[in-house]
Amino acid sequence: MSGFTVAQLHEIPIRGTWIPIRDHLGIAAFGVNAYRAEEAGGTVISDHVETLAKHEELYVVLEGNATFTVDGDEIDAPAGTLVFVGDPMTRRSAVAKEAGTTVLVAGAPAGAVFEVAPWEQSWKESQEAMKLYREERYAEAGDMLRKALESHPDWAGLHYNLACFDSKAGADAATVAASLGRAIELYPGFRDFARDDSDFDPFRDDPAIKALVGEPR
Amino acid sequence: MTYAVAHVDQLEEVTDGREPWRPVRHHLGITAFGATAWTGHTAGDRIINEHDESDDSQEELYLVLRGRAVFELDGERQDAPAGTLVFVRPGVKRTAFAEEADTSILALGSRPGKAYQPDGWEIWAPLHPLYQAGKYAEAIDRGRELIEANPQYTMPLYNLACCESLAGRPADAIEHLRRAFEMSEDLRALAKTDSDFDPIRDDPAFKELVATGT
Repeated sequence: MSGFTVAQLHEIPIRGTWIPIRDHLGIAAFGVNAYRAEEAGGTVISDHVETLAKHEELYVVLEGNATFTVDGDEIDAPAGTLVFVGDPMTRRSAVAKEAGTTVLVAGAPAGAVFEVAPWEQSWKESQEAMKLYREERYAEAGDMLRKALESHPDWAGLHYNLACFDSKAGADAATVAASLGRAIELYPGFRDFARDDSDFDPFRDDPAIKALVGEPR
Repeated sequence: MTYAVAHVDQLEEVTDGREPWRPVRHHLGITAFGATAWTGHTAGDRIINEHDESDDSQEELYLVLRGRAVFELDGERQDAPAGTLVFVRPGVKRTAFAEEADTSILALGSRPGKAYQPDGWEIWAPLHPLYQAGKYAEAIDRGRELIEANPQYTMPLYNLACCESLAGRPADAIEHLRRAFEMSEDLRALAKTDSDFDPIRDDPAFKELVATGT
């Protein structure tokens, strides 16, 4: 392995609005990505809390000008602004005030070892299945993930999405609980995440699902 | 406070006598990874002091925020205009210079497979010139203020103990070392071979302290 890698931000192949810096450079110690809105008014950072990975996050405005909303406060953020959100449960988002606004995000969990987030690990393998899911073709989407799991049996994101797809496809509780249980075992952040995920609404009263995720909040 | 905001140019610059930097991590209260920024004010300025991270095995990602820099990585020159990402693994000698006035760089760092532990090297660094000049009494006075204001950090405690040992204050040195070891076992191993503790190496309390926990 070479000791260093140099890249230009705009040469990294973009996936929608996501510039996958960590994956491109092979960084193992912390998470780092960038997001770019091509037009003014576009979403740069979608509204979220860090339920899943529980990361501290540092946002760096690289180009353009963004308006952040953090914990309900609006923050004007021209290029060079640093916005740090320490508490994983603080709600945060950002929209572009100028075309081409680009924001870098660095993240890792406080006091714990960084692991590649499940959504990032299985992104390529999940794309086709997610497309079917959006078309409400849940059974086909599930079959696609079962096939992907043959090659990547330890990828938590595949198990989790399979649980979602099976739930939407009308599978029984035991099938859904098996996949969800495996996802949580591999990546404990999925426990809290599943509690707020409407895909599991059909099973809210099921004892096996309750045992995995607890009571709804 | 659930969040912190700053513009990179607003963060104060600190120096240990070499090139100044901006302690982003400490200023914003980040605990999960390291973050530091630099600005080369004049073309030709060295921006990043040469180092190789072999002592703490960190991966580092440098990002040129604006202007234009040139990196030297194990002697190899790399042109780095704004938007350049330079990812460097431990052991590679690295430094950077400004090719244009007002060039800014941000660095992020942590160790793979380890939880990041902020040790507070950033806040002790401005006292390093006093230590190097042998002005231990002054370093101790200022170091005590630092550890009172920032009791969460290990490095200032350890370095304060070094100065106290060298200044002939063994009881203070041992007390501060004890507090440092409570937070970081790694420092106990470091103290065993650190020549700053030669003046107190035969002190029974020091011997007992460095031997504990092995």
